Amino acid sequence: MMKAMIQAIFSNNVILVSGLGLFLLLAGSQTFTLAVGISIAFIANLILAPMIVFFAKSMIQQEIKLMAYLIIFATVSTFVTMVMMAIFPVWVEGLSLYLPLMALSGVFQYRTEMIQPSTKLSSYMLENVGVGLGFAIIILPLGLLTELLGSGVIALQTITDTSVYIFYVQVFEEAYINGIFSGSLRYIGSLILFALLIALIQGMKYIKGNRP
Amino acid sequence: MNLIMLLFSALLGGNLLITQFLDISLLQNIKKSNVAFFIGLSMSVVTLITGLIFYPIYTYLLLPNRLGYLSFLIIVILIAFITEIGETLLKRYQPKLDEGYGFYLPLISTNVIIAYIVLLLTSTSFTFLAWLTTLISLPIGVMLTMVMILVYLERLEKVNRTPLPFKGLAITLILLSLIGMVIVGFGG
Repeated sequence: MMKAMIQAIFSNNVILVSGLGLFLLLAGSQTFTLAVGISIAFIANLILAPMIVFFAKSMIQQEIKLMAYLIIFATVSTFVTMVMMAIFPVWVEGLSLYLPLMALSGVFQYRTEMIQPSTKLSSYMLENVGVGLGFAIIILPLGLLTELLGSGVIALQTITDTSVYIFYVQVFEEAYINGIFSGSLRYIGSLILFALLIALIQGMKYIKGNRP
Repeated sequence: MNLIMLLFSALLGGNLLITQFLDISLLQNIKKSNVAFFIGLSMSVVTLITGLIFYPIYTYLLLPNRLGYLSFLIIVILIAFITEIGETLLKRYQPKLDEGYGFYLPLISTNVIIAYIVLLLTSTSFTFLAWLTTLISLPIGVMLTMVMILVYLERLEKVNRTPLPFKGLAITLILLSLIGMVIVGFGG
């Protein structure tokens, strides 16, 4: 059970292997605070939506499967968005359009396709948590690095007040900030970082003897 | 004049594939520029129909009754419903087209770009004409970018000079970021 979860985090990471949910990764990796917020929302969605499908799957006819699943995903993501807005308003600030769109990221559809008649709920749910953690281990360092290169700080805001920080470390001064990671180019900075990360992983696979 | 500005800014500066990176994974699934054109065209039609149906629902039903939180759910149902009708019509009246491209139609019902564009109405105060312009121009901008990137990728494939670690998703993202930098430059 644990092995499947660990595989979902590392070797079968949905972001790196299937390229699903990339827009969430790039939207949430602008700052470390947003990366934490979107990770929590993603894991919450991954626990709730596939669990509902797990119980409802036998009742859904094959012809309307996609539509029924989409309605379940959209309902869950709307619910999670509302909860996140109420509890962690700062951590999801500016992501109000992205959080519900999580339902269409393809990850949930991919996870529900994995449900077989012999699948046990406990192992399936653990694997889903693993998928969520796999997303988090990519987005958290990416958010940290983008913020560091774009504003020279490593910081995490509190959940309700934008001006109060849980931790705030000024690593280098503004004079050394890279323009591609700040302002309106910030998205592009995180995109380049992610592309380099993928190239690095593929390069390592290649060196090990597996063709990428 | 404002509408023309809106049209061009949506086509270039506000291009969702480049500025918001919505549905990049679509580029992974499509691979060919002619399929990208078909998907882009279908996406534009579904966006227009969904947006036109959603406008009165949102303006006269959801907003006055403080039911705005149901917007996303309604949009998803509308998109799935319209795509389903489109698929049936394609099978019935254009079986050849359905054989070639029908396989890609489910990608439309799970398309983030359509939902994002229609959802924009809930966070902006567009007049109907501005809304209509946005509904038309944003998906066309995405379609043009998608075709352009896939043409680039097809050429890169032919030349076969991409370093091995960058093949696939990495080079697509690098291409997107380069085009993105140019597009951001339009903003001044």
